[in-house]
Amino acid sequence: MNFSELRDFKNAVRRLESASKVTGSAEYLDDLELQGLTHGYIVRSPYPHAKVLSIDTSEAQKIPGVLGILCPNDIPQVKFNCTGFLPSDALIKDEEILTMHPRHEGDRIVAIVAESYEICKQAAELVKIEYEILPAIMTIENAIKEGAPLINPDIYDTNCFYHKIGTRGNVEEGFSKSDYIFEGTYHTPIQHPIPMEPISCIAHWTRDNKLLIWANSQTPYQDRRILAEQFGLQECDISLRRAMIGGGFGQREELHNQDVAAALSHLIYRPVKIVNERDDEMISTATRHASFSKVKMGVSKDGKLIAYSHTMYTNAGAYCTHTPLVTGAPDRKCPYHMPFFRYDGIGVLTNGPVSGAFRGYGNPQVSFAREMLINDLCRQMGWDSVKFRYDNVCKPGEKMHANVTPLSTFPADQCFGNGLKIRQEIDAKEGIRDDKEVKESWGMALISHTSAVSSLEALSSSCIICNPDGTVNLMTGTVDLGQGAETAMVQIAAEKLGLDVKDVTHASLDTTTSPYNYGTFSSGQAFLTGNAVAFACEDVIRKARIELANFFNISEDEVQYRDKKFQIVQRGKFLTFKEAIQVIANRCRGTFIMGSAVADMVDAPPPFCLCWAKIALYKKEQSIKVKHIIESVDIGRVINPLIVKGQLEGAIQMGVGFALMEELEVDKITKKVIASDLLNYRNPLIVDMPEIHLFVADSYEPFSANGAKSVGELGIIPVAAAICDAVSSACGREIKEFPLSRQFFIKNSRYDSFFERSEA
Amino acid sequence: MLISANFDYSKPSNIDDTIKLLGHDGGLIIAGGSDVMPQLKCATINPAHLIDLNGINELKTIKERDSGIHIGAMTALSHIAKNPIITQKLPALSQAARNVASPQIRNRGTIGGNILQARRCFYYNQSKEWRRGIAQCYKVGGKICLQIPNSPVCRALYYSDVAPVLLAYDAHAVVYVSGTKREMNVSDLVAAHCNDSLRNILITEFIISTERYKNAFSYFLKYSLRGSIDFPIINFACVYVNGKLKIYAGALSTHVVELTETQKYVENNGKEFSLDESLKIAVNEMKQKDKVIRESGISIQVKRSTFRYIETLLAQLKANM
Repeated sequence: MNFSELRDFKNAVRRLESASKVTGSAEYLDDLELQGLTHGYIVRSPYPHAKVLSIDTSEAQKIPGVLGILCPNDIPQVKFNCTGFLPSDALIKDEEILTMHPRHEGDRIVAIVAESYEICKQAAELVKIEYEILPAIMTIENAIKEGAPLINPDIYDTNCFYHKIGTRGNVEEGFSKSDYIFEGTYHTPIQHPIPMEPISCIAHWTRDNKLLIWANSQTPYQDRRILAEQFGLQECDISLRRAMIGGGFGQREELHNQDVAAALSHLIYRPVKIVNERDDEMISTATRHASFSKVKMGVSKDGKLIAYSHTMYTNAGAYCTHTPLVTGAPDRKCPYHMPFFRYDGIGVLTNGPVSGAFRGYGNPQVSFAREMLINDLCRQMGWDSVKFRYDNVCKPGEKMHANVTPLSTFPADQCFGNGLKIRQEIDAKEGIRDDKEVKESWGMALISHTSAVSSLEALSSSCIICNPDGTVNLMTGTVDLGQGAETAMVQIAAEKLGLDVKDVTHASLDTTTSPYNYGTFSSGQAFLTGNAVAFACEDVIRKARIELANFFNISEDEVQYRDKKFQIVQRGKFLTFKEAIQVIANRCRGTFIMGSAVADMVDAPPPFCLCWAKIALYKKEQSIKVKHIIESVDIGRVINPLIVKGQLEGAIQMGVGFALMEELEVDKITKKVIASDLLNYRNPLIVDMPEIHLFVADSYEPFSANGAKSVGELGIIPVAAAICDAVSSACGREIKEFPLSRQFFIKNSRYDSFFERSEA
Repeated sequence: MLISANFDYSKPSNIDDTIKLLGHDGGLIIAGGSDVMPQLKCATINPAHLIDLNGINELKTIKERDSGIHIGAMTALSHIAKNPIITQKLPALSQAARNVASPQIRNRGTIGGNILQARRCFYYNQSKEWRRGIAQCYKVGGKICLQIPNSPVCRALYYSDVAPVLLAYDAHAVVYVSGTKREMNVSDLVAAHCNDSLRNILITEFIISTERYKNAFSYFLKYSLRGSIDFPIINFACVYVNGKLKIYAGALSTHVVELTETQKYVENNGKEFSLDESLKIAVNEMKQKDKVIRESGISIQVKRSTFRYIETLLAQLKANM
């Protein structure tokens, strides 16, 4: 669809920080310079599993410019979990800041601080570490085998360290009531989010015993809690700030190097900067859990889903991190209505790469398996998979599994109808080939997600300070990772107060002065923080009405806020927000309008995404090409169409990469991560992308003060299933795993001539 | 990534000075740098002296003379891709040049550098820190090939896109070996390079003689996982002139593979050669001669499935004979 046709197209404002970004004047973390800045470096384990027998730093210490070297025994031996916006028993504390027992490649052993990065690297060369190499288990299958060695016997007595069960009715009863039963097993690979900006931080432990941190983190308040525990500080002693951030995608929803930088800074009371290199980034930062799913579905003769059971094993890597939540959350995200359901999420420890949060949070893995089995069963039954989905998807008024309130919005007719219409238009325009050489096919998938943390413990708050000229300063704890969160918050405030976006400034995040936010993840900013902003605006309006009533010497009821104007009823006088604030600030004594609010939401309404993929299979070559991706979504009201478009297109690119070629490949022989750079880790280029077609439903979520649900993670979730479904139906065998580049040649046109103009 | 090696750096402005500098031990020529710089960063090479050829303008020219087309070794690939002499008379070379890596790399990368690019393997092209965790392989002075443990030699793949074309054109190179100027076949040059037996060599130009391109049909094809940047999964080049055919396949072995059986079959049957038959011969030949190793992103099975993509080249050849 043409975005300009959206009802809210008037809100398509450019990002507030776009000029500084495109001119290169925006300051990312590595651009920050502080007085006395030093550089840190982390020596990491080159083995996936080993014991450190000895560390000798004597030669390294001698290099001029080396300011300090930390070994595991030099720092607090406090075990921690790198995540958890609230502490949770499920999030087991099993990590150490530096360790003598590396359990994955890239585990941290020694930290060095020096006057320059060059000196750090020279010193690192001279640190002698003696290892005893231990056997490593890399895959789920090997880790769950009977008799498999334990990955971390100090803490866990099993490798399957987490098991979540979600049920609705007795699923076995459901299967006995079904007319047909289908089963399948599915694998998904490790995907890396590869944000362009590497993980970076600066820590400054001051002489006054305050800890200042700048980091590209999505969860500064969570980092503050964890750092306080690690170093025995109070939360008021720690202040976290951010620079411009070049991407996060969930990966930065956990503590990465901030603790090491803090420990180094404590040695010298000077700021310490640590910036990951790309291989640190690929090998030792959070990735998407590889998964292995066993799915079983029971259906009735007339195409109703009766029973659905799903067991998913996730490859956690060596530490707990996010695994219980990533593995446990997906049962709340099933878009279908069925009387019998059972979900088993099992987290498995291995010596593989660290897994964590990543756009979709377990949902892409679960949805791939579920949707592929639906496609498979529809093919076997000769059913139209679109109709099957339409018949079984939750409709408003029905309760989705594990949600508190019934579904309030999902315009299924709009989403299905318009998605199908786009599909028909594509086929009408270019046909659908099915001849000796080429077979073209469509595939589809349907998913739902969430608009905030589905456990509902999350909260966001917002403060608004009105300036004497009637402009406002907005404070939220949201982190703009490049997704446009600050712009959206400014738009929400401007709209509520009848201001122009130019009249609203979002304060730069600082945990000491910005109000609490659970963290920028779970696609929750538009919904949760957006509601906090809307409520704070209402608080401002309420306070302004009181002051205006005082000023005009009338009762509060006689000052109304209507159509974004204050109406002084008896006098027939109308004041814009700016005018009202000017009156209050300049002509009333002793008043100053400041509003605040906390968003306390009952439920996080689910957004929906239908995805179709059209692929061509070249029979002789056994090669495939993805030609079109359609996404038809319900995200509630659109706050900024440009941001929505960017989020959906970006998510589709990640989904196409996930299906076709992305895999953080671990070598079977050396058990090391082969994909340690962006030549070995393939991510689709713009020239590899199919045509994208989007439809955004005209929808309004009544639960939300601004009508919005969410869009951030939504778009990636169904893409792999839609592409693999299309490939299955073209090649006549069910695809059960990807990336497809290991099974097919991915056809592309070498596109290089595109960049050239013939020489004049 | 930092370069931690310590080396001298010179930027001579003429060939004579370059030869003198090359006479010292530990000298390494840097042309565009798109292959040398990553190796310096990964510390897989440790030169005592970098000799930068970018100051020698005479190495950057393309000229057509009576003897043939002379291409300076320092000519940028983006220039070769667009130069009218090349596009009109050596179309396969232009095609190959425009398919190397990405636009940025083609602006830096040179034809000489492309021929002398290091062979690649995912165990070897890794940072120094990464390689700490594995045994030293042949490439870095060890005694094993991690890909093929019983191999007596390094089995890293040679990925040049330009080499198969120059071989098909039967190109010559003007080189200085130990200070002496001589002309040699590019096929010998590439073979020596791929055996790791080239030392202290300076290539000044490549020559394709007139009889190799006049009334010739030439063609180049590259297949890669992504539409730009990537090294080839496989590439093919052919030149057909005066009843003689040369076909080469690249990226499937330690060197460029000449498809001699296919050449023979096509030459013997002329324009009437059977496409199916030639395809069968070519694929069989590649299967016999390939020295495929594991690569990132694809499987060996997918790699071998691309052998049959030579069909496109054979069909073009048949149509243009």
